[in-house]
Amino acid sequence: MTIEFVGVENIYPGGARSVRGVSFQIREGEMVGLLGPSGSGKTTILRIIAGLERPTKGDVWIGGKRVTDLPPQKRNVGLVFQNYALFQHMTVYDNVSFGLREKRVPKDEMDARVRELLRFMRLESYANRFPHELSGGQQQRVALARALAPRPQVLLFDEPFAAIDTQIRRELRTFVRQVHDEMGVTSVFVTHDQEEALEVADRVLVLHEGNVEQFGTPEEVYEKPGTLFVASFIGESNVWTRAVQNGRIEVAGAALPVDPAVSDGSEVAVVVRPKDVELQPASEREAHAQVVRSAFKGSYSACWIRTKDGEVWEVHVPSADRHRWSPGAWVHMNVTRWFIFPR
Amino acid sequence: MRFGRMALDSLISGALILIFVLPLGAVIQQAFSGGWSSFVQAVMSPIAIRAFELTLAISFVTAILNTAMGLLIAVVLERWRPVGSGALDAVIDLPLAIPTTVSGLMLVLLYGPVSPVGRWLTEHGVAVVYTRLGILFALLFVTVPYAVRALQPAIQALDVRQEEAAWVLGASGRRVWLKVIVPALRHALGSALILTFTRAMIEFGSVVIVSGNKPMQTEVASVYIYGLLENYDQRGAAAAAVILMFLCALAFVLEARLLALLGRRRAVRWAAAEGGTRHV
Amino acid sequence: MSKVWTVVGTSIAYVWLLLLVGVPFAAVLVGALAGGWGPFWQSVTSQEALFALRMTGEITGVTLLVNLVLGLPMAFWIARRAPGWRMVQWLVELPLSVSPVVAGLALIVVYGPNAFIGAFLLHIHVKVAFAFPGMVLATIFVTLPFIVHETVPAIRAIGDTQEQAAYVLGASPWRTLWRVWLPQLKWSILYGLALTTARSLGEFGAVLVVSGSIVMVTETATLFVYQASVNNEMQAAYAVSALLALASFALILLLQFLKRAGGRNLRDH
Repeated sequence: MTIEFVGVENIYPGGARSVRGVSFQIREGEMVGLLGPSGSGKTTILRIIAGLERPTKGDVWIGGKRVTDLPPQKRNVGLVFQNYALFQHMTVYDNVSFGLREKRVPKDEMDARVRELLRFMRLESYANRFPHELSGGQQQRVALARALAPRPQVLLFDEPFAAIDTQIRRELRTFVRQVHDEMGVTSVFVTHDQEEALEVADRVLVLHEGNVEQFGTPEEVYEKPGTLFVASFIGESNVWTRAVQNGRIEVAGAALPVDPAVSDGSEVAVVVRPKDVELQPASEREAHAQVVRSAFKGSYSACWIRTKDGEVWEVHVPSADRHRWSPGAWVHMNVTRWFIFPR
Repeated sequence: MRFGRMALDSLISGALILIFVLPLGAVIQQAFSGGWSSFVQAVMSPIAIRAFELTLAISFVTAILNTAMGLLIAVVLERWRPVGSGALDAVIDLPLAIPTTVSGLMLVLLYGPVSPVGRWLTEHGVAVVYTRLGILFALLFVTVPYAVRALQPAIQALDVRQEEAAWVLGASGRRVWLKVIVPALRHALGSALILTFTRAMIEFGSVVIVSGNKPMQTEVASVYIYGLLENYDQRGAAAAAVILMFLCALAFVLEARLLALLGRRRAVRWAAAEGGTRHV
Repeated sequence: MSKVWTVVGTSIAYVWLLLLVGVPFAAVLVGALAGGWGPFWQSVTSQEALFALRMTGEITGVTLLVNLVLGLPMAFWIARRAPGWRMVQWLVELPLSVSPVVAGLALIVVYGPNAFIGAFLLHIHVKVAFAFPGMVLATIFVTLPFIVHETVPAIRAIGDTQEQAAYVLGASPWRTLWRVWLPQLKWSILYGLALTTARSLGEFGAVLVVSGSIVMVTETATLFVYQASVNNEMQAAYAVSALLALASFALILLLQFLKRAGGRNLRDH
């Protein structure tokens, strides 16, 4: 099912969690990640899709049908809550069958569906357990099974992996993606973890203070950030302010061209990813910067270098070359890729 | 669904208004229906004044005694947990469950001339039934649970690490109690005091039976109000009722102020102890 | 704290409670049975006593029902911090610091035959003051806080995500109440109802004022005890008192049981 937002607005007193005139389209069978810092309105969007929140303005469409005024009971969406919200007084079996029972599905059909899902989630032997007798990962799978049982048109996840240990988190991520692929159901998940969003989602909707900053594939938002916020929020980045002179700005000894529309004297932000800076050894006199500190990070190493203007940059170098950039070394910088945004 | 919500809300609001707001408002209106001067006259009669004085004094004593004992009982229940503390825990609720008239009757029976206890006390010149002492006993009886139940959760929630820190720093047992435990309990102690006090102020059933209700001697406020009603003086009763409600409300306000004040004084002392000249 | 202090403190606590609560409680049982079972049985089964006991039972029954219907929505209102919740909470807790006599007076002032509303109700043949409805109203006034007080923390502890999960899975609010809320609030509600029962059985001051305490018409068990003691029919007063005291004791045992059961239930979650 497709999901479409048209000018959806939902303002909270104080501003946080608000959604301000948001429009986007989610395609059939797509898996979309809503990414943004806390309070950016991503959970609110999810709750509006589920019908738990009513937009004060705008319209929501699911599968080509306007659902703005439809209560959650009638939307046929599956929602996996952040803390799972399992019914504490019910067994795993009763939790999973809850939605089917509400839909008055015949008993044997219901039983077959629940058994099937429990098997799929590797929970068969826990059918008669209560939620508090399960581990976090198991509870998560019960919540997923419960949401999937009534065959929802749309599957929603609110911070699905937030409360789980990093070890199991990786596994679950792959698992959730696998579930999505097998069920073929349009899915939306909320996260503040960019790595998670980039890894799992087909497309990422980046939110900031209730506005959509960018909606694109993981490659797009990473390689072609549309705004300064996206550039600095996704991936690691060095962000500096520069004044435009003669249609150019000066970064690490190089004069980079700026959009001619930007007038001289105005300030712009320049964003450079740590991987987009090449270092070369240089003599103290002609060097741009000096290495302050370096840290081993596995396949690459991070170096922090201080330029002669006093800026401290983060630069990533292959770990094999790490010894060349030990603290105190003078370096020449070559910026290979950069993004310029109006300030 | 939306309509059902609204209907439910209106039902509740309506019930609240019909049960609480309207009646209590009407009492206040009734009290002043004869003008300010007749209100003053009603509540300034010597019998009324004496009844309020007596109620305040005995309630105060009750509150102090039962808060102190309540603290001890709560500590016994929560910290020391001796044999039979389960039964003790149940006994504390008894006064809540026993009808107040029955409580009064119990005391009359126990301290009256029929029982050996009563006879022994009478021989030694102590009269309980139909005296102020009897009122005090009745109030102590009915307010015990309030003090204990107000303090229990606070003691449960006490941070043992704070105490341990004090022990490690070499504080003696008594100092730990005075400097660490009691200050941490001050809100609970405050609510124990206020609950027992107001509960004592408004008590009727047990007192009306134990006290003998002699005007100027053993007549408390609620009994005085009831007496006026018996004599068809609704306005006078309403006036006295307003004073009684006012005194209870005042007690709540005073307690809140006192706690706030104590809190600030402690804050100032702390700042001073830290050696700063900072203003707090 | 040294061992000696612990022992001394515990002893003081025990003796205090024994003298204050235990001995008087025992005294009323002993007093009621001083003349043996025969007179006790006679007093309790006299026509007047039976009427009073039944009246108390009926008032308690109606009060429980009304408190459940009114109290639960109020508890949700307060627990959800819906608009005006502070006001509702304040109103509900008010009776705890209003003298029962004043409560009775307040109801008489509004629903008595001389008052506007009371006169109107009389006109349409609804007698509130000095009749059953007034006595129920007085009992509700005094007992409404209990069920609210017990369920608000439980509702807050459960939170609202389970309810939302139920909605998304297609359950109506009514179904959600039955399938999600009530099973989990069971122990708190029962505890509140037990407290309400105890207080309804024992309510005296408010009912006395509202009912006028007319023998065989508006006389409840506690009013009976009071009248009997005023008329110096001590055997009757003690007998019914003992009965009420035993009922209270049974309720206390029930409360202890509910507390344990509910506690275990809460710990499980």
